[in-house]
Amino acid sequence: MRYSKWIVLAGSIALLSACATKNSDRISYKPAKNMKTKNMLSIPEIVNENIPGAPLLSQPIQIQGEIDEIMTEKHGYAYPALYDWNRDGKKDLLIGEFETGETGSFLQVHLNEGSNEIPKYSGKFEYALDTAGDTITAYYWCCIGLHPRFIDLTGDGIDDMVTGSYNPGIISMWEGTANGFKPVVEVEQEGDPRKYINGLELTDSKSLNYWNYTSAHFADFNGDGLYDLFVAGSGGLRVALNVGTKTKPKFGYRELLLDPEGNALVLMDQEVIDEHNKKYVGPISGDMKSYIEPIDWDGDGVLDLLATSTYSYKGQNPIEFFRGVKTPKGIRFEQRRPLFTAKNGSDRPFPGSATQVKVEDYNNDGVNDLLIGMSIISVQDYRIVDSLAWKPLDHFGLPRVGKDLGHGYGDPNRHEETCRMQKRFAGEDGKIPWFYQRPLDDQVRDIYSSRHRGYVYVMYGEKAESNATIKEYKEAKDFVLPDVYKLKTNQTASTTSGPVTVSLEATKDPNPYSTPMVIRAKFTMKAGWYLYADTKHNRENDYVVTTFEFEPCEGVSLAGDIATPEMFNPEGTAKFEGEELVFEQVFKMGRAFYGVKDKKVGVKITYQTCNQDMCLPPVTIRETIQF
Amino acid sequence: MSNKIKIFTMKKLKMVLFVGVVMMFLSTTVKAQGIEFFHGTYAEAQAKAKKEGKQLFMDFYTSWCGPCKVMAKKYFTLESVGKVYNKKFICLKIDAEKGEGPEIAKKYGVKVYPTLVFADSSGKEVKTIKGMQNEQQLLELAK
Repeated sequence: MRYSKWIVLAGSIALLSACATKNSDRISYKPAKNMKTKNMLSIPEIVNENIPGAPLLSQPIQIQGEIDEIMTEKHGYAYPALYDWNRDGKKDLLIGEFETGETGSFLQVHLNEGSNEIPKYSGKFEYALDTAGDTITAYYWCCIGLHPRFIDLTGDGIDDMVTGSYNPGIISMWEGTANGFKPVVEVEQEGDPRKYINGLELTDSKSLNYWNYTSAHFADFNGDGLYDLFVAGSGGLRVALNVGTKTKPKFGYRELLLDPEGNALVLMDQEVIDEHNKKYVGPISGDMKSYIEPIDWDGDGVLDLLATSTYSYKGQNPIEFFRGVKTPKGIRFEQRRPLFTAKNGSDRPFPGSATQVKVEDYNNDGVNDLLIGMSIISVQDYRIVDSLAWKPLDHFGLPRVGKDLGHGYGDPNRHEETCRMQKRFAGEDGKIPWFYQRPLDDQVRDIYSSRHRGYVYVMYGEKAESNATIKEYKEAKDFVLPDVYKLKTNQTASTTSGPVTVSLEATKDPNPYSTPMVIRAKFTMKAGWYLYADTKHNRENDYVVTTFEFEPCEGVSLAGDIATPEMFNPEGTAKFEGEELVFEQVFKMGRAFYGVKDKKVGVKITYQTCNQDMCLPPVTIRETIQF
Repeated sequence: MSNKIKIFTMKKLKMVLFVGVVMMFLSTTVKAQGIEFFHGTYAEAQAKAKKEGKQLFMDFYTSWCGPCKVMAKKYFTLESVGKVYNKKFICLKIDAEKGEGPEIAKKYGVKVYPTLVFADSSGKEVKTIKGMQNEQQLLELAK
């Protein structure tokens, strides 16, 4: 005991010393090649949730290569799926990856060297190519990777490969042919995922939250024979009906999936944070980094949902089950239940985070199995550390999967960040012995070398002993956006001059994931009247262009340029035309804002309007908006 | 230089000169086709109108007015319009934001551009028309 106290003391001193180390003394780390994971964890016995009709799941078994380890690196996501890639009649294992950038989110193809009943892989893989011979990849700059879904979206009898994306929230498709998958194209959607505005309500198809983190899956929701888009992410768990045709899909407005009470589906309990008077609230589903798979899991003939999240917070389960029920207003879903739990009573039946799930018949026995991609942190020499792997990431305050865990901490410019990480690795209370009971160099190397790495598991399904019967509700309530997600409109002012009425309003969005304040100028125009856009051409030709000047109080600053309506004739005399023209300026609020007594922004708008026959003199509006 | 080339060059030169003369003639003709605006003050225009027994035609415009530019370019330059307006009116273009323009615009209550004011030689308003007018409308107004 006395000895261990000395170790603790030495470790603490070492930790402090590390943070006092000069930049030039920093230890660099480069991952070694061909390393294999050490200390792979065994998963304690799981208990299936009692879901009549649902397959009984086996203990998770890691899918391993007979020669090499099956694993993803980069940012640690692993998106597994089965597809007969080489058309030899056997389903191969595909694993989608995530890498920041225009290329790098590739698709590992592990050819099945066994049979459909007993698949075998060597662990050696090639990255998937399209029919043009290019490596299949999609552009992701953050937080989500290539999650392949194989469905026939183009109605030609051959599966296409489809995936979602982070931002912009596009849907990418590689059309399947007899010879492979064509180069990527974008699937049409209602609205424009590239045009969004911070600070609008999440149900507004022009808002950032509506589009951000578009994870995708497909099933026929309304029974019209077309694949609909099931999408999760910042805007919650939603469905976008296919408003296109059997051969040319187009996904419509994303409607929230609801429970019979009219509530949005939730992956995690909400928690309102009140820090420095900021009333923040999380995404409507509780966790924006979410995925849903629509599947009739219990075989009752009604679609259910399997959903996953970051699995990084206390109270989250690796896989959530939402039972589909019939109501007079269509299919609704009962709120989440864990698909399985740990027999030992732990709230973490799986190690790691960022669960990815794909329903497949892995052993070809006619019963659904689960393929699971799991990200687990490993450190030096690909060593998994129990204390890191089994605790939710939130416990340590570590970056989530999809972020650069450990990467870049050798950069001298990030010395302070390294020190923060050291404290996190040691635990806030310094009670993580694996970290500090070792030499300082090892501690620092752990930080530099730490990575999220993705592993694939299978949980075999066994036919259920009991059948499920359809559950019907006599009533279903409509969705009402909870107050915490409603924008707070602080002030409106309206000025009419001739054919133009200008209304000013300021809104605050309580969502922490978007900038909290927007000033919106809405021009209501009588038919035929237009405004001149602020372009070089218009200024040079003496037109009075539409301008906005803002004088924010201390702590408030402009976030980017003002968003304008679409211009007509942008190359020539550019105009804004239409019955309603909305201009929106987003503001950032710094800490100083909360200390300012007179919270306000001065607004000056100048415009001049014409129709095809005449022009009216320029108008200047001055307003002060209080918050 | 051979004779052939010399003859060719001379022919070419003559052709260029001929085209030039034709162009000059045409440009003079085009200039003369539309309304010839008086380049003087409002008072001078009044005096000229009185002297020549004509009325005043005033086009109030601004530099930022798109329809004003269109009307000036498309309709004031027409021969049919010029023939009538040059005969009947002393025509004046008034920039409502420059020089004496604001004062005259105020006198005639101009708040929309373009505004066309027809007045007698003393400056008394006869009729005022707001907005761009096409050829037919301009000819009708001149009656």
